[in-house]
Amino acid sequence: MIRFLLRRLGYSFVTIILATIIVFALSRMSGDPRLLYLNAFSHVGPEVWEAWGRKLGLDKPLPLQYLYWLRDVMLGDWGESIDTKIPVWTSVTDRLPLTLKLTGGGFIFAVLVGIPLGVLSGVYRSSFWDYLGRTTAVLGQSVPAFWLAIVLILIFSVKLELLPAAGQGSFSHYIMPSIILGWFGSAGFLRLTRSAMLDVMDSEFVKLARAKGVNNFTLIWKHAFRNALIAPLTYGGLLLAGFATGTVLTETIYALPGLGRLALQAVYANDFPVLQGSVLFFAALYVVFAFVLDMIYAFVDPRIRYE
Amino acid sequence: MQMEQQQALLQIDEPSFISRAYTKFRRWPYIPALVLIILIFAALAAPLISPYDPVKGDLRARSKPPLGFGGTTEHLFGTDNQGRDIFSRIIHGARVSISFAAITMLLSVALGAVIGAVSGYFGGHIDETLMRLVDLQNALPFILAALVMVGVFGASFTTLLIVIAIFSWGATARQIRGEILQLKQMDYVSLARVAGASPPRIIFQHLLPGVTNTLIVVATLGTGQIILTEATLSFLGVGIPPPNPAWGSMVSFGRNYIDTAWWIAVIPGIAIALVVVSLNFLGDWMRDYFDPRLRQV
Repeated sequence: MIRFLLRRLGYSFVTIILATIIVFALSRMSGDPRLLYLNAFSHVGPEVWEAWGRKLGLDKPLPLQYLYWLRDVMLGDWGESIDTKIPVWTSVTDRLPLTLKLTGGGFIFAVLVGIPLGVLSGVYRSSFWDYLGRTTAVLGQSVPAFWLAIVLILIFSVKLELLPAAGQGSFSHYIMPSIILGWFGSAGFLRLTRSAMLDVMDSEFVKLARAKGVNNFTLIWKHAFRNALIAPLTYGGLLLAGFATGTVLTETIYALPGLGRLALQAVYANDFPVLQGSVLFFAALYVVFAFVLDMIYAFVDPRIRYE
Repeated sequence: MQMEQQQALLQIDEPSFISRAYTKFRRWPYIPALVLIILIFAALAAPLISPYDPVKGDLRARSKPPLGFGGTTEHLFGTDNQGRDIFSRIIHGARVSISFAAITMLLSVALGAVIGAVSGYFGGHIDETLMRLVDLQNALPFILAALVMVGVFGASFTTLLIVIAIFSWGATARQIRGEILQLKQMDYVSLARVAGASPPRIIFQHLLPGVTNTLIVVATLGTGQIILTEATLSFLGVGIPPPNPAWGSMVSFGRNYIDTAWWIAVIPGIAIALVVVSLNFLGDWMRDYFDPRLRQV
C-alpha cells in the first residue's frame, strides 16, 4: 500500500513538474517578458533595458531562469496582471470558490444521471430504461455543450422564465451551469457503468447470489454495483480534467466570475501572467484530484494495493 | 393446437418495432452514412450550391425566420441579424469544419499510430516515457493549453490544427499500443526480426498494417471529437477566425439574439450535433463490423 502510494505520488510530482516546464516554455515563447510591461509609447534606452533584464534574471541561462521562476511560483509569487496590476495569486484564489462550487455541481449532475441510468440500462437490457440510457449516451457525446447551454437559456429563461439566464447568487443560478458542466460526463459515466454492469451481471458470483435467493435490489446495488464501480471511478478522474474546459465555457455563457472565465479574459486581453497562473492552478487541481481518486480506487479495489 | 403453440412461440420471439429498427440500424448505418455523404458533397460544392454569399448580407432581409416558423422558401433556414442567409453559411461552414477536421484527424492519427507502435514495440523505458506523455495530455487542461497557444501564436487555422493534433493523439496511441503488444508476439514478427528487418521496417511494414481497422475506427470517432473541439474553440472566439463561417462561431454570434431570433444560434448547433452523432454511430458500427468480439449487444 505504501509503495503504491509513493509511486502514485511520484507520478503526480513528475506530471506537475512537466506541466510547469511547458507553461514556462510557452511563457518564454510568447516573447521577452520585458515587452509585457511596455506599450507602443514607451521609450527605453538600451542601458535601462539591460538593467531590467538583470533584475528579472534574464541574463542567466534558461534552465536557471526556470528554477528561479519555479521558486517564485512555489512561494506564491505568481506575478501581477498586466491589465489590472492585481497579483495573480489573489485573483486566482478569489475566483476559486465559485469554480469549485460549479465543479461540484457538475460532478453531482454527471453522477446522478449517469450512474443510476447506466445501472438500470445494464441490468434491464432492451427495456425502456436501456433505450433511454443509450439515447442519453449518444446525445451526451454528440450535442455540443455550449449549444445546449443556449437552448436551455432559450427554454427556461426566455420562454418559461423559470431560471435566471446568468449571474450568481441563489441556488437556481447554479442549476443550468451544473447541467451543462456535467452534460458530457453523464454520458461517459452512463456508458462505462452500463458495460461494467453487463459484465458483472453475467458473472458467476451474481448468479450464485441470485440462486441463493438474494432479493433483486440487494443483488443489483450491493453485489453487482460495487464490483462495477471501478471503471466509472477511473473515469471520474479524467472527467475532472475535462471540467477545466467545461468551466471556461460554462462560466463564459452564464457570466459567472470563476477561474475559467478569468483565463479566457486573460487570453482576450493578452494578459499572460494571469493566463499562466490559471493554467498552472488548473493543472495542480487536476493532479490533486487524480491522486485522491487513486487512493479511493485502491481502497475500493484491494487488488490494486498489492499490485 | 400445435399451430397455436407455434404461433404463440413466434409471437414471443417477435422483437418489438423499436428493437427491430434499432438492430437494422446497427447492421447498416444508412442514416449516418447519408448525412455524411450529403455533408461532404455540400462542403465540396459549397460555392456552386449555396444560394447566397455567406459573408455579405442583405440588410433589407435581416433576422428572417426559417421556413415553418413564419419564413419563406427564399431563406430556408432564415437569416441572421446582418441579413446573411443561414443555409448558405451552414454549407460554407461545412467546408471549413470538414476540411479542418479531416486534416487535423490525419495528423493526430498519424502521430498516435507511430507513437503507439513505437511504444508497444520497444517497451521498457521508451514505453514508460511515451505513456507519461499521454498522462500529461490528460493533466494539462486542453482548452487552457489551447488558449495559451492561441495567446502566443495568434488564432489561425494552422495554430488550431497543430494545437488540437498535439493534444489528441493520446487516445490513439494508447489503443494502438495495446494492439501492437499483442501483435508483436506473432510468429511472423519474430521471423521478420530473425530475417534481419530493422525496427522501422517491422513497425511500418509488418505491424501497422495489422491495426488498420482500429485506425479507421479511431479516426472516425476522433473526427467527431475534433469537430466538437473546433466548434467549442470557435464559440469561445479563439477558433477559426472570422469571416470564415465556422459553425461554432455562428452559435456564439447568435447567442446575443437568442430572445429575438433564436434560429441564428440554434440551427448551426443542430448541424454540429447531427454530424457528430453520425460520425459516432458510424465509428461504433465499424468497430463492431471489423471486430465482432467487441460487439456490445
